[in-house]
Amino acid sequence: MSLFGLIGRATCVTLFVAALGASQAAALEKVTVATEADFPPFNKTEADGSFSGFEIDLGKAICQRAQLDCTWVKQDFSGMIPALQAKKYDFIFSYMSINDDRSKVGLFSIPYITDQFRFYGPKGAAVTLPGGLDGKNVGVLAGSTGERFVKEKWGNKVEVRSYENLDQVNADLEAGRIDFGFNAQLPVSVFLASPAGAGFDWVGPAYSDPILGRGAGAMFRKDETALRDKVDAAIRSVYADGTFKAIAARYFKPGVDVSAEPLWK
Amino acid sequence: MDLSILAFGSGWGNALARGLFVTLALAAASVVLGTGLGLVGALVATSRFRIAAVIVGGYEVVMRSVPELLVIFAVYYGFSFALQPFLQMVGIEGFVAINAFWSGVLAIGMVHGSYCSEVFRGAFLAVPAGPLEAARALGLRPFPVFIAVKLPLALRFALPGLINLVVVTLKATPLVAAVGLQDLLRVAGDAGKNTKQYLTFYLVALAIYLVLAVLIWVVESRIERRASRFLGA
Amino acid sequence: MIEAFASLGPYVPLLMEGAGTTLLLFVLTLPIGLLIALPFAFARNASLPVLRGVGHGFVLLFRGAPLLVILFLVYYGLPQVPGIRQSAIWFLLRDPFPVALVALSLNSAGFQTHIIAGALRNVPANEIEAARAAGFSRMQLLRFIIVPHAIRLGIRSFGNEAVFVLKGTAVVSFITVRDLMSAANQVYFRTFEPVPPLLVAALVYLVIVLAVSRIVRRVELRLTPELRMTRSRREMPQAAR
Repeated sequence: MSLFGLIGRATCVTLFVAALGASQAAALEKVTVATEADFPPFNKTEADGSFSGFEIDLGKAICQRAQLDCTWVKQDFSGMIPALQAKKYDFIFSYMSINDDRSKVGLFSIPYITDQFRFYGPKGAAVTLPGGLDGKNVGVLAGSTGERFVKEKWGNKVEVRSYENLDQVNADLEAGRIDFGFNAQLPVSVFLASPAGAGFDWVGPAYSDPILGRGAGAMFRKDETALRDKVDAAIRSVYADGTFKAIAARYFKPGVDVSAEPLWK
Repeated sequence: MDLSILAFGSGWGNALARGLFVTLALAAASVVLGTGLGLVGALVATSRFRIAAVIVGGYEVVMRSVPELLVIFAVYYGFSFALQPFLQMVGIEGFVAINAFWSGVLAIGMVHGSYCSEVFRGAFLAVPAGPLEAARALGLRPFPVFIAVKLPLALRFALPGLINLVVVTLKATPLVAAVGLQDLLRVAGDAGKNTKQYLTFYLVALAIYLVLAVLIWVVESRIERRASRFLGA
Repeated sequence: MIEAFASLGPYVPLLMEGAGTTLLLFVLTLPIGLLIALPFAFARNASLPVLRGVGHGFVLLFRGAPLLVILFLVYYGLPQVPGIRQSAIWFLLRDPFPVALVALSLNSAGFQTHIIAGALRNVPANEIEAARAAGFSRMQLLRFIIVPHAIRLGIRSFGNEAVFVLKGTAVVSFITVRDLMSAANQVYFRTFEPVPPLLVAALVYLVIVLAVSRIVRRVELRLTPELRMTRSRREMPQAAR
C-alpha cells in the first residue's frame, strides 16, 4: 500500500476538488458526515479507530434510507460549524442542538432526538440552584449551547470553564477542580452510572430554553436544501417504521423518551 | 498498573501505532515542504529584487511570531476561502477543500519554512568566496556556479541547523490534533478517555516523542561531525 | 470582510481580557523559568558526572517533548497519581492557570538551561585565567567576568526563547485557561466566523513579538559596544569591504 494511501486511510479524508454543482450521482450520492466521536452514548471512538454509538447507528440508517453513501469523519465539537462552512464535510450529525443563532448560519433538519440539560456535581452537596452557584466553577463544552446558556444566565456569578470534550469535564469534576458540570442529560447519565461517577449526582432541575435548543438535528450549509429535504424524509421514515425505537432501545434504558416527534409540527 | 491496555490487538497498541504513523507522516511532509519554502525564501530574501525580499521577509517574521496553533486554525478554516479569488482568476469555478492532515502540513510547513529560511541565509553567507571565484574563473555561468558549488557548500553549513528544526517541527505536530487529526497525542487522549488511564497514555506518548527527538539529535551530531571533517573546521 | 471585522466590536473586552492573560503568562513564565534553569545550568557544566547527567536529562526532556504533551500530562495525568490530591503540591495543580504556568515555566526552563549552560561554557578561558591571575575571588570572577560575558553571548538566544514562550502560551486554551487564543475561539463560537478573530489575535501576538525583539535589541546594543560600532559603520557609505 502506498504511503499516501495509508495516510488517506488513517485520516479518513483526502484532499479533493469538489466542483460546484457537482453532477447528480446516478445511484448513491456520496456525502461526508461529521461526528464528534467523543460524546457517548451518542457517538464515540473505538480502539480500532471506528465510530460507534446511537447517532452512528441512527445516522447509518438515515443515510441508507436517503440513498446516501455516507463517509463519517471526526471533528471536535467546538470547530464543527466553521468546518461545515469551510466544506470539510456535507453535514453534521453530532448532537447539534437547534437554536436561533445556529439557524442563522446553517440549515437544520427536523430534530431527530431531544434531551434536556442539567447541572451535576458531588453527591449530597446540598446546594439549591441557582442561588448555590455563586462563586462556583462550572464545566461546560466549548462552543455548546450549554456554555452559552450558563454564561448568559449566570455569567456574572460563576466561573465558566470550557472544555473540548465531556470526559475532560468529568475528569476535572473528579479531581475537584470544578464544582459542577452542565450538559445534556443522557451523556452525563453514562458518567453517573460508571464507577468514576459513583460520588456524583444531578443537582437542581432539568432546563429547557430557546438557547439550549429544540432538540438536535442534522446541520447543513445554507444552500443545501435538497440534501436537507432528503435527510428530513429519511428521519420521518425511520421514525415511522419503528427503526428509531429499535436503535434507541439498544442505547437507552426503558422509559427514557428521546423521541423528537412532538417537536416537528 | 495494568499494561495490557497497551497491547497490540486487544489493547490500544494498534491505535497508538496508527497515531505514530500519522505523526511521522505529518512531520515528514511538513519538513519537506518547509525546507523547500525556506530555500526559496532565503534565495528571494538575498536576491536583488528588493520588494520581493521585503515581502518575503515580512511574511517570515509573521510566521515566526504567531503561535503555530493559530496558523493551523487559520489554514484549516480560512485557506479555502482565501484561495477562491485566485482560483476564479484562473477560471476555476470551484472550491478546494483541504483536510486536517494537509492543513497541518501547510501550516506547520509554512512555519518550518520561515525558520529554515534563516538557516539557509546564514549558510549562504558562510560559504567562503574562494571556491565561488574559482568556479567563475573556470568560466562557469552564475546558475551552474550556484547549483554545483554554492548550494552544496551551503547545505553542509545548513544541515545541522535544518535537522535541529526537524525536532522543533515534530514538537509542533500535536497541535494539528486541534483540528481533528488522529495523531499520536490525540490517540493517547482517546485511549485515556476510554480507559480512564490518562497518566499511563500521556507518559507513553511522552516517551515516544522523546525517543524520536533523541534519534534525530543523534543523526544531527553524526552529520555535524562529518561535515566539520570535510570543512576542516 | 469589513463587516466581519466590525462585528467583532462587542467582543473587544473579551479579546482584551484574553490578551491580558496571555501577557501575564508570558511575563511570569520567563523569570520563573530562569529561576528553575539556573541550578540546572550550573549542574549541566559541573565536573561531577551525576550532576552533569541531571542537567543533561532536564534539557533533553523539555527540548524533546512537545509542550502540549507536557501540559496534558501535568493537567490530566498527574491528578491520577495516587495521593497527589492530598499532597502539598496540589495547590499548584488544582486550578488551570497555575498548571499552565508550571508547564510553561518548566518547558522554558529546559531551553533556558541549554542557553545559559552554553553561554557559560563559551566564556573565553583566557579571560577567566587572566582574572584569576589578577587575584579575583570566585564571586568576583562570576560577577565581573563570567556573568556579563555569558549574558552577552546568550542574550540573542534568550530573545528567541522569549518569542517561543509567547507562542507557547497559546496551548493553555486546551486546559480551559482563557487566554487570547481561547478568546478568539469564544468569539467565533458566537459569530461563526473564525477568520476575523484569528487575524486580530495574530496581530496582537505580532505586536508583542516586535516589542520584545526591540527590547532585546536594545539590551544587546547596551551590552556589546562593538555592535554599536558596526552599526554606525554600516550607516557610513560603504567605501571598502
